[in-house]
Amino acid sequence: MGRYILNRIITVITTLFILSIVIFSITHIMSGDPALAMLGSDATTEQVEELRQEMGLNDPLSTQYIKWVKNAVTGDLGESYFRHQSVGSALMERIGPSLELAFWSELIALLIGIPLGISAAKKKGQTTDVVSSMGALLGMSMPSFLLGLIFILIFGVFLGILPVSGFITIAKGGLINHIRYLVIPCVTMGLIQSALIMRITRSSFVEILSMDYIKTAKAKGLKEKVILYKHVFRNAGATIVTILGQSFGSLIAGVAVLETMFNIPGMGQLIVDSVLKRDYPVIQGAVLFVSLLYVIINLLVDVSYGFIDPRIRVTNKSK
Amino acid sequence: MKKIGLSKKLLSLLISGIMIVSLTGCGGTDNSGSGDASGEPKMSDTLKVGLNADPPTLDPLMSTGAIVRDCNKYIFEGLFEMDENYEPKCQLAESYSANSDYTEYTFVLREGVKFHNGKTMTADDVVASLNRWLSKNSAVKSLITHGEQFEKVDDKTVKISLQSPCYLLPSIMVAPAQFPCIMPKEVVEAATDDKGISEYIGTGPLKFKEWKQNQYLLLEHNDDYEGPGYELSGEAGDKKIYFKEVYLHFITDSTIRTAGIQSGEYDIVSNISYNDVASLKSNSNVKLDKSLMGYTGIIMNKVEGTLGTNEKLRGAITYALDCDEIMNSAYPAKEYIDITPSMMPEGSKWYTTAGTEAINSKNMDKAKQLLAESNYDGTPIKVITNQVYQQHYNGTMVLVEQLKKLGLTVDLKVVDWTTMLEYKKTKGTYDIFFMDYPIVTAPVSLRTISQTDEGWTTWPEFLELLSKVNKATSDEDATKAWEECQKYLFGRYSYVPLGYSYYANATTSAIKDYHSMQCQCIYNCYKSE
Repeated sequence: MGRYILNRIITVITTLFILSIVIFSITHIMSGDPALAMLGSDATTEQVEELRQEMGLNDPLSTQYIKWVKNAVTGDLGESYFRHQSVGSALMERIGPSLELAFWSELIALLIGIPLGISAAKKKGQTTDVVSSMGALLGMSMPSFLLGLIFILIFGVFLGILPVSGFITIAKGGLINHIRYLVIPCVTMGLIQSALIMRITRSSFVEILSMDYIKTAKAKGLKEKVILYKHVFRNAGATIVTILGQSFGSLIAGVAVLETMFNIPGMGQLIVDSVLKRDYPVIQGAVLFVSLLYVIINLLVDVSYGFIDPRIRVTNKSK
Repeated sequence: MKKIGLSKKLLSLLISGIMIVSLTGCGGTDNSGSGDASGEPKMSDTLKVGLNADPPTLDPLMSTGAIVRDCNKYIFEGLFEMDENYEPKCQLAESYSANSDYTEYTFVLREGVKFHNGKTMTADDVVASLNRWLSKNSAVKSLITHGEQFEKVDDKTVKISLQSPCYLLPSIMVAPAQFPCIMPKEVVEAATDDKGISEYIGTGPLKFKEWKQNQYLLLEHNDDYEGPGYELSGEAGDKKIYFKEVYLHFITDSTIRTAGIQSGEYDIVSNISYNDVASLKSNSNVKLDKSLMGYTGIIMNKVEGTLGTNEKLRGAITYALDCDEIMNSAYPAKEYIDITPSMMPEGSKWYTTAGTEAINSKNMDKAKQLLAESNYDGTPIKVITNQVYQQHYNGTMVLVEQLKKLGLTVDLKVVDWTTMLEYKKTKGTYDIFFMDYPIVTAPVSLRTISQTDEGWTTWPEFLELLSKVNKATSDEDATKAWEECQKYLFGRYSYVPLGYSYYANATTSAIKDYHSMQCQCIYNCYKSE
């Protein structure tokens, strides 16, 4: 296991290095000038050039890249052009709301998706299965912002029981208010994600339920609950954990539309805002950070396989 | 009979009871915010305003974006502020004077004005602030071209001596873009060229408290604020704030702003989508308001190497364009536009219709005649637009169809806003685009006559005429010179003005006495609970 983790860490470092070149190149190839974005459309060409010089944007690209990488290796991701703060502190400020949104959304997704998926698999072909599958299809094809807008209309405007947008910390607004602001975005994302989890759970369960050893278990007279949760669930666990990992990763930085719409100060909103303004240090730092998170999540998922499925542990040992 | 008598007694008692309760309900403490004994509105705890954009900075000189002034205007004031006629009125200046040829200005400062940090404003602060403004503001740099600086005469007097007359200086000093805000000298000296100021200390009726980028700007009531002593007109005068705290929320999605005002989440929202106006009109809990946004037009690039150097082609386009159709598409709510050919707004002293015969004439015969004379060879006309501002995109779609109808080939590029800004400043990237701009107080600030970008209007004859506007020494001379400028520009089909547009703003019905100016303005409004 230790050797496996070490190998993965080496892979991570190599991946991040290649990623740094790609991110840097793409941000600097993009059209648009951060100095002009800062100064606005009425600025003169001379003013823009002056600011570009101050920001170091006229240095050769290789010089800019080496400077950035050297600092990044020591943990210094640079200073934001627009935020009067370091990239590191901007990321730390933003990761909290994103993690919270991702956690609660994922929990809602699990609480809805897994039981529905199991139920649909058990009653394959029956009404429960058909209705659940149709619901899942709707959930997967519906854009998240559309569902969010529907909830805003119902709960924010018509019923007036939840706020339409914003985010408030517990320290500032208290626990109840904090939760009120999270309800619509978390339920929105949770429902969308639950659709995918439901379908994956259902198809894994359906496949495993048709296996010989499950037939044997049934023939032995084991109770249905024991079969489902001790045998089927564990065997489907690897697939479900894989999709959970991907889902959680995408929730951290991939919900930019929702974060922008609900005005939640998360990673997605930070990245989108930085791209629109061409805040190069933040774009580079944030994308690297999110990539690192994805890699860590994937590593945790891979490691978890060994705990879920002992056969993987035995296979690795014998290697 | 007894029963009837008893019923009558009961009824009388009931009616009496109702009357007593009603009277009790009418009396007592008034929580409506409609006034205390002196008639002043009651101070409310919080006001929540939903703005349509997110400022990249709060430093007024680090950005020309309108949103920057919309946010910082409650913190910072200038020697002058804009009144309801977009004219300068003394604010931090007590008075000013100029010599007969407008080459020397003397400003006498109000005494006892306090900054938010308790420091008293002096001439040193004003000189530092205004000299930084001279170094950064592009419009004033085109007027004050010999490196002149503001100087301290004594603790309450500041002057500037100019080598050329500058009649327009006070008007330029109230233009919203890169506003000459007065701040402490120490704050100015600590500002860096790339990040600007790091503290937000002004003299305004609200103090800076907290800024969460992409989220909100939190301002708190300045209990020590004192105005210049005259009634508020526009944004000049005694600015009263009836809120202990003001949140300026940055809500870039117009649907959320509309939902927010309907639900009461926000008390005021600015720049709602014109498509939402009709539904909000029928909502009894919402009141609509409008404020002048700025001018709109079709910019034609006249730099060497672009199709815009072909005057006959520009003429053909000018005669062919249906400005009504373009404006109505860009701004679907008709009450929020003025379709006018003038480059300056009606009501302003600069308004003139001189030279506008071709504008919005929809004369296809003349257009086709000029097109034939232009020897147009079918090279695609490069049109650029963006979808960040929906009115730009909508107006451009109609523009493209009209150009095609004329017989032109069009190459349309839809880009994001930052790329659009870059393209506008890069020669050769476009031939024509639709744009709107914030209001200006003098023609010299019009982006549409810029010599270094936008349309690249560099004709020597025009620059000579423009210098007469800048060097005029009376309103009459200045406006007459501007009339000649406009006639010249339109005679050469330099630019097609479409008109003026207004922000559609909304408040909840609890907000009283709200009169927006520019994007929004919360002076003197109050909340009745």
